[in-house]
Amino acid sequence: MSNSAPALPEMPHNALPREIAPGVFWLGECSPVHYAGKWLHTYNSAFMVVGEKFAAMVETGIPSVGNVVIAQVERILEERGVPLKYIFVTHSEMSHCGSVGRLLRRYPEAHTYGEISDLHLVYPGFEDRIHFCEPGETSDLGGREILTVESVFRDLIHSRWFLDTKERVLFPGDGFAYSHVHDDKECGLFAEEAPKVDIPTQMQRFATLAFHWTGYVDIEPYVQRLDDLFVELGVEVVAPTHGLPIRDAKNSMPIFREGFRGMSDIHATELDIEIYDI
Amino acid sequence: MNTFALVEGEHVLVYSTGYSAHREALLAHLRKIVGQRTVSVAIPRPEWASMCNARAIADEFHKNFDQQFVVHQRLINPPHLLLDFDADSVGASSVLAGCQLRMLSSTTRTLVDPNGERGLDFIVPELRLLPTNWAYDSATKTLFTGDAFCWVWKDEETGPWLVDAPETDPTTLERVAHSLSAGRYWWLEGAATQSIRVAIARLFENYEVRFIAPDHGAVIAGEAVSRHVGYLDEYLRLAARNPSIGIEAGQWKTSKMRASA
Ligand SMILES: [Zn+2]
Ligand SMILES: [Zn+2]
Repeated sequence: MSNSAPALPEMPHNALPREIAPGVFWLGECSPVHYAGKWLHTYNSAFMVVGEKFAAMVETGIPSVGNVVIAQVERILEERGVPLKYIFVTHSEMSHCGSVGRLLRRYPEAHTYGEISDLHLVYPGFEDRIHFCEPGETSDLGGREILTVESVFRDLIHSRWFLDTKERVLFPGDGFAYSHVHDDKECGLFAEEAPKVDIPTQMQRFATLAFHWTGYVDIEPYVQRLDDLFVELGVEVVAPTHGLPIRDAKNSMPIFREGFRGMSDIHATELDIEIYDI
Repeated sequence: MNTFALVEGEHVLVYSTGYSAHREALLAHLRKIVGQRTVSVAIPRPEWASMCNARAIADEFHKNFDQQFVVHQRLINPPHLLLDFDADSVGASSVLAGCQLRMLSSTTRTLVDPNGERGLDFIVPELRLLPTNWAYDSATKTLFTGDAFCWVWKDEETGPWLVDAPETDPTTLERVAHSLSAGRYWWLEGAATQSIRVAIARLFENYEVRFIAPDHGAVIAGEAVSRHVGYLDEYLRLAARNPSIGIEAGQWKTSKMRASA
């Protein structure tokens, strides 16, 4: 018989939502994961960008945090007094699109944009409110726009990244993915506020579990393109879906560059092991 | 989109639950198979194609029996929260709140009947994108391959959806290559594929496979099995020589994908 599940650890009080740049809110909640005998926390975050006229979400979280995210969205929309018009998703996977259906039902004016390849099969009945979007397209929120950006690091081929043009916040989806240790109490912090998190090791661990492809490719062109894109877009803040946000993109980049390079060092043949020890 | 049901005595194990869009058809099929049997579900990969109908199956069949509904999955997230995401859901299924969560393992067999013998041996395949299990049913010598071997599509809905002799099989190396490189296996172009080739070859040596049962497309049976393993190996060999498309693909428009699909 398959293994019984270990009891979940007691999670700390949710540190989110947090305003990570003016009008940009980090939503969701940590999820515990068990790895090599240890409890870690992973984020499957959602974000909200509030303009003068409209609000946009970027990502919607994994379904298991749906009720948390929806309550956070409701509260911010009420406080800010603007309607939710856009729900951007970097790609159609469940840890990014877990609340799309419930949000579309709740906010009849909102539409979803992004890499949405199989989302119409997940949320039937919403086909006319779910759309692909292309790099270079912009969506106006009043006083700021969301720019659709190429995905440099991805799993699904047509994944999209997004940029808030006002505060230069980049939403890189699966890029910059790393967990933090349960006991280290780093929930809800910026990377720069969490000195205990070993970013390269955690990025490598994440790759071992979720970005298996990085073990077979030359990662260097991706690192180079990432550097160029940051300059082209003037990125100041990074808001990854699966990691703590990065407040000072320019100065923090070296450690993440090291992290990306380490992701190609996962040795495929060693992955025969039980990669989830739960 | 395929879902599979394994039956032993008074028990049914549903392997992968398909997309919401196919829910009514799936439940209609399952009703015929299940009758009064006990049902459990296995979600071999934490992706929509595997998980969309788990809650609907629990809602439909949990009253069949007194025992707990069992969900086998890879993620530790509580099933009543993870699997309740429909537009009209409350985000916390009351039926699944009482379910038993079992973690998929590649070292212990997932049994159809907890006291029986038939079951699935889960395998972590070297060819994968996300955390993914393949599974082997030794009773029928079927290898369930998730998002791999999904390249047999037909122009007619009537199929046939089991290919074996070459006359029933539209597959060419070009179709295999397109299906992999224009989809979730885009990264194989220019990749170091040798260890994947070795691992796949070893896997088919270790397991006698009469049927390859992928999540999408036709079941590959009998003499077609070695032909399709050959297509995969040949594609992997050729892909390693090609330039990577990893950077440029980030800038591709989806209209390119739709035109070439
Ligand atoms: Zn992700
Ligand atoms: Zn945490």
